[in-house]
Amino acid sequence: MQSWDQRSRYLLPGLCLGAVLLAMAGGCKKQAMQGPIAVELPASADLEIREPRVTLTLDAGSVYFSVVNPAARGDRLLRVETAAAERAEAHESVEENGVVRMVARPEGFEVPAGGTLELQPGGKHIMLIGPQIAADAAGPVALTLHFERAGAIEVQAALSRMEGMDHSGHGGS
Amino acid sequence: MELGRACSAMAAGAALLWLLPATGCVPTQTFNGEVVEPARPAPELTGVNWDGQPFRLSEHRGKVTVVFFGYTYCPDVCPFTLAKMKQIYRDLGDRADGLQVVFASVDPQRDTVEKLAAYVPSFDRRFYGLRLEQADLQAATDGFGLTVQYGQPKEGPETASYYYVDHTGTFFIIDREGRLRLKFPPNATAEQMRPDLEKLLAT
Repeated sequence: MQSWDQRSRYLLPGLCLGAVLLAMAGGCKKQAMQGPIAVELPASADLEIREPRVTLTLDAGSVYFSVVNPAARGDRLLRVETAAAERAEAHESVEENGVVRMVARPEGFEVPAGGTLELQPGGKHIMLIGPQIAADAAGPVALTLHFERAGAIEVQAALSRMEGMDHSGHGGS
Repeated sequence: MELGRACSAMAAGAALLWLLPATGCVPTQTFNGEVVEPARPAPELTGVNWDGQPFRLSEHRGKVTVVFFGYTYCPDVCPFTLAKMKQIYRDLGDRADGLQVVFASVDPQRDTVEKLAAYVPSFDRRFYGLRLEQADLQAATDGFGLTVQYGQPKEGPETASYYYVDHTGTFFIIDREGRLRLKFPPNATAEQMRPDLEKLLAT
């Protein structure tokens, strides 16, 4: 039997060595994770539409969603059809040196192979021109997304009104 | 032995100095935004607020002010910018009393005072929403160094004529003394701006 003193003599260096080894192992693991990941993508797979949503302001509206493409070949979002507006056009907000520009993208948006197309505020979006949504409508808004390969996909988008976000302080005006 | 101890202390001190900047512990006043140097009096901004009252920026000192430009027909960036400001107000809590938000329209043709009254206060009634007459808009464009370009109107079978306005989306941050101190790009987040505003609010 060793006394506590004898054991503790080896305890600290042992712990230090352990910590160093753990750190090294952690470092190695990190490096290993940085290597290329070889994943074989399926030749064809359904597109997944995530978080479709419509935001309305006084005279305009925007549609946002993500398109996840697990397949090995790309696709293209050609257009969006909806009864909720006179027209729906593919647009992109582009910032250059602090200046925000609106650029029409009549060719639609590419959906990369094994990747995601993101439509989000301040970037790619579907602009609703002449929104035809009743003032008291709560949504959802029916949209048909047309893709080059995948064809038509129907989705129900959540509706939010930007200018009506503050319900707490509304007065008479 | 004493020498050894002194060396150890020095090594530890050096290591600490090397580590400090990495950990962000250096107690200097740094900002996330682009610092305007030297700080200079903010350009004048004259217009009519959504409530019909005349507004002159130089008469609104004593508070930290965020000025930005946009238009109500703007479908994508502007509403989210106002929502961002609303989030900052909410996150600041009581300290928001020291902050004022000024949204100035670059589209006087469509953005009437009535239009602004239907738009700006619905985000937050404390926000100013200004309509600038052409001459005042020109003065603001020159003073703040803005780019404002009106797109060609588009027509549809039923859609009324509409156009976009490419415009500077920069946030201009003005201190309590009325000096232009910081600028943030249009895509800056509320989380990036709030710490800087808190620092200016504390002075």
